[in-house]
Amino acid sequence: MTLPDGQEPEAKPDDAGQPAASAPEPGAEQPSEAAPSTPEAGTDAPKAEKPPAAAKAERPARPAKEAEPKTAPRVAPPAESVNEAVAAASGVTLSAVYIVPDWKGESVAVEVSRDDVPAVLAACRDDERLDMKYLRCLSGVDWQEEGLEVVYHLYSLSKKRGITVKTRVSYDDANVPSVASVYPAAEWHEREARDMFGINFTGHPDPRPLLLPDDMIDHFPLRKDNPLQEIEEWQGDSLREGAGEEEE
Amino acid sequence: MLLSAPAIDIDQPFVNAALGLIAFTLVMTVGVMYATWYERKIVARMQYRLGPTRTGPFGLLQPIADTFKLLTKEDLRPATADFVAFELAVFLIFVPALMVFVAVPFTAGWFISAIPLSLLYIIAVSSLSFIGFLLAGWGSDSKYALLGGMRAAAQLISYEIPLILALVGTVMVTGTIDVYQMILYQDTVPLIVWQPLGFMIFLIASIAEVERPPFDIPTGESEVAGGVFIEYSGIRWSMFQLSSYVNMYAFALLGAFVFVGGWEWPFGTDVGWGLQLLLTLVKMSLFIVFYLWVRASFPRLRPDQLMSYAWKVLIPFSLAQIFFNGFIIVYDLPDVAYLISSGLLTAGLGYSAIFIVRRGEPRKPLQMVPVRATARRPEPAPATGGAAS
Amino acid sequence: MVAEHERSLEVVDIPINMGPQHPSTHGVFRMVLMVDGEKCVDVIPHIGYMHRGGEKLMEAMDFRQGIGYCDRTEYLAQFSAELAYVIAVERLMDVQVPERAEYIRVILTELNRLSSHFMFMGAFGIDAGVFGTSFTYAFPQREYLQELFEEVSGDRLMYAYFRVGGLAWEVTDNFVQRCHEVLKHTQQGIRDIDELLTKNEIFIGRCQGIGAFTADQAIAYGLSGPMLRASGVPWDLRKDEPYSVYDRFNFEIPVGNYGDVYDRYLVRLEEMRQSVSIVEQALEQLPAEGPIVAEKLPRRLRTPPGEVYAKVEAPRGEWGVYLVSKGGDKPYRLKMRSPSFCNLSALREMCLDQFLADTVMILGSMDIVLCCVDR
Repeated sequence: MTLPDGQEPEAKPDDAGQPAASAPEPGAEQPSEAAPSTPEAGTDAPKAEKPPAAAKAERPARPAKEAEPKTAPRVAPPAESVNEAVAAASGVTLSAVYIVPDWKGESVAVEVSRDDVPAVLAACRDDERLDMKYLRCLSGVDWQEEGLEVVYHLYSLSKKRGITVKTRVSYDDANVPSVASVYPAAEWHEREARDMFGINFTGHPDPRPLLLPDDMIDHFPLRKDNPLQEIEEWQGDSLREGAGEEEE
Repeated sequence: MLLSAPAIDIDQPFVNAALGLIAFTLVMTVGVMYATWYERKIVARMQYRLGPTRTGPFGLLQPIADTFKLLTKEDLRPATADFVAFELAVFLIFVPALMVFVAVPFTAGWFISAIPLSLLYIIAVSSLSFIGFLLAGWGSDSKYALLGGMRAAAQLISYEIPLILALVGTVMVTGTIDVYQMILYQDTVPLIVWQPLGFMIFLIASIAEVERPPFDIPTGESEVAGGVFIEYSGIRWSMFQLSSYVNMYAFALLGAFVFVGGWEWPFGTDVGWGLQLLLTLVKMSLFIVFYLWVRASFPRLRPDQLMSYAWKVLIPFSLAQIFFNGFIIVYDLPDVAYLISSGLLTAGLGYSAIFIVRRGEPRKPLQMVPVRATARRPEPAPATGGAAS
Repeated sequence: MVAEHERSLEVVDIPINMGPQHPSTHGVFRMVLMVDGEKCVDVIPHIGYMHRGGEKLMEAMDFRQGIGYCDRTEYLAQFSAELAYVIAVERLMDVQVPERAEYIRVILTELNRLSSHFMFMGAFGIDAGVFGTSFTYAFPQREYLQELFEEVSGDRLMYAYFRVGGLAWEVTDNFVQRCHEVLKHTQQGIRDIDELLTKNEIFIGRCQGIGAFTADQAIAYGLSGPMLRASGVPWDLRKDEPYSVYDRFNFEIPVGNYGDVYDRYLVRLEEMRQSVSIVEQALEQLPAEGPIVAEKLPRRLRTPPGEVYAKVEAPRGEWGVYLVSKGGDKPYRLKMRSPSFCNLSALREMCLDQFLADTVMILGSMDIVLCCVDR
């Protein structure tokens, strides 16, 4: 029961050449919605952007259409944020620091080089100002050309603030030091990330496959090299009427 | 002193006994089949459901349906199982259970054989079944079965002792080891009055002997998935189950006779066999309902808790009772001394149950951390009317 | 010095395989226990029997299709899983959910918590050995709840009712009255189970002191939910990071002291009572009318590029959704941080040096659900 976007009276001329919205798709979507004779297609075209004509005041501003970014703009956190404490406690230079949305407001994400990961995490855990003893989540992400990434979500139950630590490695050298000795919770998460992405966690006490069968050690399902066929059927209203736009 | 004649009046005593055994075995077989029906209905009602209802009126044909099903099942035996142990185990459990009934007088005139030492015979024979458990556990060549068999042996041996000691107490009070004489002794007052502790210990130990919950460690389904019987299928498995019910009947009857007076109390020997049989069955049924009730209500004890309860609680208390009984006999104290001493020990037993489980300092209750609302629902538009917020 | 005859007797630990099919492993879970007599010296859990590649599948499903899969990832606390997913997308898209939808979401999520905890009570009783009595007390209550859910969403188990921005459709007209009826039944059910188990001597003997976990260990292992609260850490996402409209209710969080199996049972029992209280407050505060989905949502939901970690307090713990989006209508990476996965990783630590019968109780007290562990 989603309300459709208002029927755009005018076509969007600068909508042609719309980049592929979801990265795993190898082919770009056909810029067929530029045809002005299909006003309903305008519902598909904008990526939840504010059409210029309708006054949709409750939506915040979106980035410009023509430079549709694939990654969110990186906004530096305000001063005295937790990243400074982390840098001070671990003595490590952080490659990048920016904010990410959190349950209410924002929290800080830092990127470190992979060799610094145990030091940073140990500092987060042991330093009294940080006191981040809770490893919430440890995931792998496959950014195709940019390599594999490991994301650690740490949290301090006493100070009620968290930090996201990320590290990136390349495909050829997908080794990340294991933090299972720092956070016992990481043990299973790292095994799963190894199964799914092929990231080798050096120093892990028990590197057996966790979720995948024992003989599936060289096939990493969650990498983008293993595409998944699109699930094409829509339930309910069809979005393809008159659009000519391929599923995407 | 032996009393009257066996039930079937044919001259040949051997044929008498054989006919009695056959008649009894047939009755018993049907009886235990319907014990399963009884159990399923009663336990179901305690569990908020109905039990078998569709197979015949009130599900009465359910045991027959089960029997047919089990008879047609494939008789599996693991290839590596020890043939002799595997096959023999079933019979070693089933037959001694049935042999108990040879010495049991159902009424004043109905018994298969009048044995002067019937209580001794009953206890001796019923304790043979643990060998069957050991053989089943070993012969099945499965770790679960082995664990179950070891646990069964440990449990059965441990609980034999308080059972026997409790019965020794009653032997001391009545002065005879013949069940028939014990029944006659209770013409005015049942033994439960003189030996309440013996009764309690007998109840608990008999549940353990029969291996019913909460003492069903050897066949605990959640842990060892059937324990000793895990490799048996079809009719052999059903024989195990039935032997469990036969044992239950045996101990229920024994309890009814030794402690509650059997067919003698409260009406005496002069009533006809019909009323006596009815009394026996009613008293036996009370014990059986108690077993079923306990089954539906309690979790299972852990093996070490089970053993420690037998050795550290039941045996000392039953030995204490024997001591007091002896004291009373030697000094020829009045019968009420039995009641006082045994009653005090029963109170002690009850206290120990609470004490042993709740050892240590009392547990801190949960802390409740309050969460107070920090926001309120924004006031709705006036058109919809206000609501409590 | 070992005597000659002793050297010839080799004492080995028995490996016992509580295999994928077992009455008390709560799903397809395999546990290999190395047992020395009756004491466990090692526990090796094997999971992955129910792994369906959920995270990869979600990458191919857009933000409306994915909700159906969330149910299957946590089939006892479906609304919590759906809620986490939907909150993640709403946070990225910056969608404001209307009041009525939020309240109905909270009501359904808390009723789902009740049904999940009833399942725990039933299964835990069976693990303890109460031959099914706790099970048959708990499951009629689940039936009442499932009937209500079926009236609302059309399905008894896989609801797929929440949508980005609100709900799929309006609830039934007699929703409030039905909720009150169901709550009456569940309160009776909670009382029944309480009377059956809580003060039962044998149950206490099976549960007290078993599998104790200190607060530090619990935090280090990433436990969450009733496991963490039973160990003495007063952490509940509904209190400390309230999402949806949880900051408008007064309730209490039960916190244990010893971290053993009994405390976990008590915490869950008390949480059921608190859930009833929350549902009653929510029914009282529920706006009688109002939109149930956010206004002006596009028909095809596209999130701006970015990432978010959204978390809800599922009955088992913290259900987190780490959503990375590259600006499309499908997630680029969706990691589901499931509470059972993290709780189960502590199994070995908890089961060492415990009796064999106790490992079953410890596993039961973790209240794992394998779909959540394996996704």
